[in-house]
Amino acid sequence: MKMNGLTRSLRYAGFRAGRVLGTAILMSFGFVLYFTLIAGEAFSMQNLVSRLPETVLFIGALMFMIYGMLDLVTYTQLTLSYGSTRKDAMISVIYMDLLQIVGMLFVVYLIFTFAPAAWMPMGTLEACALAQNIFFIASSIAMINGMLIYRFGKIAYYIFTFLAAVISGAVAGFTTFMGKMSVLGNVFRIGGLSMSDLIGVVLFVTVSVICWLFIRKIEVRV
Amino acid sequence: MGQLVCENLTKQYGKKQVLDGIDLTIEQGKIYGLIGRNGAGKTTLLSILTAQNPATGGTVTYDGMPVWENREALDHLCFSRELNTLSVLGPNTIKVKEYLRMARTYYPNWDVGMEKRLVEQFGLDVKKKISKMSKGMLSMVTIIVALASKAQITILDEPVAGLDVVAREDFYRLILEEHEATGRTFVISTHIIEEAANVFGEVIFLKDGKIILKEDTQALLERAVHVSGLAEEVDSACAHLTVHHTEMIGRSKGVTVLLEEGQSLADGYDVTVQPVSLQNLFVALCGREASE
Repeated sequence: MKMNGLTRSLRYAGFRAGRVLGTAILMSFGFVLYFTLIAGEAFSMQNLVSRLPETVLFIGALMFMIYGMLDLVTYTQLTLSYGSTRKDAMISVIYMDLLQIVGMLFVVYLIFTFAPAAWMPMGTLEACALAQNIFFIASSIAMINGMLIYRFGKIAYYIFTFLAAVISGAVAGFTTFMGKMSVLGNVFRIGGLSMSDLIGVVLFVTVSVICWLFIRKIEVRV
Repeated sequence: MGQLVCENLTKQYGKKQVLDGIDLTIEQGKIYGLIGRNGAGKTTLLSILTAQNPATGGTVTYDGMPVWENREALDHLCFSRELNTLSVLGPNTIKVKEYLRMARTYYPNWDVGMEKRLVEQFGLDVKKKISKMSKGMLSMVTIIVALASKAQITILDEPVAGLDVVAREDFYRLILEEHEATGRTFVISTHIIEEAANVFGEVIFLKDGKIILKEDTQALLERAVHVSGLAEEVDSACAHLTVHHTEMIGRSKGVTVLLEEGQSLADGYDVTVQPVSLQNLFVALCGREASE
């Protein structure tokens, strides 16, 4: 049976998101393994498990920033050159980002659910709230950079690489700090969640609207 | 089985008018050759016809349906572009198999058997990155995408660039076989005019963003003649005709003439009349002298 255009776009987007997710998870565990090896005699299971959340957040954010940017610069161009409509291309970009975010959140959820609570810097809900915020912000930055790279070429890419390094370092430091100081300062906290937890989602929606306006007029330059 | 029609198509980049009021009908079941000099607007025209780029003005329809953002129409079209070894971020590191995987997903009538057969026939290494491939290999990828897409109207941009003569012959044979077997329409943009002339049922000459000629190849070549002899004799023989291209060697003169219906050379003059090849006709109509 033939699939319609959107289904075909989503099918490929799903494959691509799965690949990014798989790479991010593998890299996260690779980093943890590396930390374990360099710990030498100081190794302990608690040390290993407690490193997982920050590693997953750091690698996840970094991967989303890199691939989110590439999605706009190359993936969208290629799909349009293969006869996708702009609407389908935009929906599949959002779908890809959401799949990746949900997948990584699930990993965070599993870590916090199955690891001993005493080893974890925060509760599961707080961890997921923090993680989704970071992932949505990272994906939004990636979309902005994708648009800038399309418009200004490599200069924007170099600026982005610099920003990615700074932001990734900040995220890593931030998550470690949060681990010690509890989550997001309990500002505007409503039933375990804070208003500030929505910053990422609001930014993502806003950037998505801008991105749609961008994709609507995009010229294919494969 | 539908027609691709564009009416009064214009495209402007800043102040530059790239396409200027193009009216064109691509009919089902023909092989078209789109010929124009570098910068004439060929790729721009083809990308607008397939809704890859927006037009500044005018309409494009397939079977009466607008092509822009119309899935139903786009499913019948394939524009296999020239691949670039460089992306905006540097070398294009996407592998051939990734290109083919995407094409397989996006084209609703993709023929996996044909894809595999052509990959084998061309001896392509699908694990190779685009940035590591030769110009000829890149052309092979675009040919595979075009043929295996099985789209009703398939457009190829410079498909034989970089191909050796054997591969080019293979390409023309594949196009003719596919055309005969399926009745698909092909639009082929190329600079290698002479050897492709026998493949094109119709030719479209594009010059400075305008279509200056669209005609059955055979009929066109029948009415194109090269007249040579002493300058005075040639001038007299062609006095009532539109001369498109003139060459002077001493007192001798050669001109290219496109005879309109009912026209013929004036009798009684000592001139030599020879047929004109498609390439020479193109030079006569679109070359530097023609622009002056």
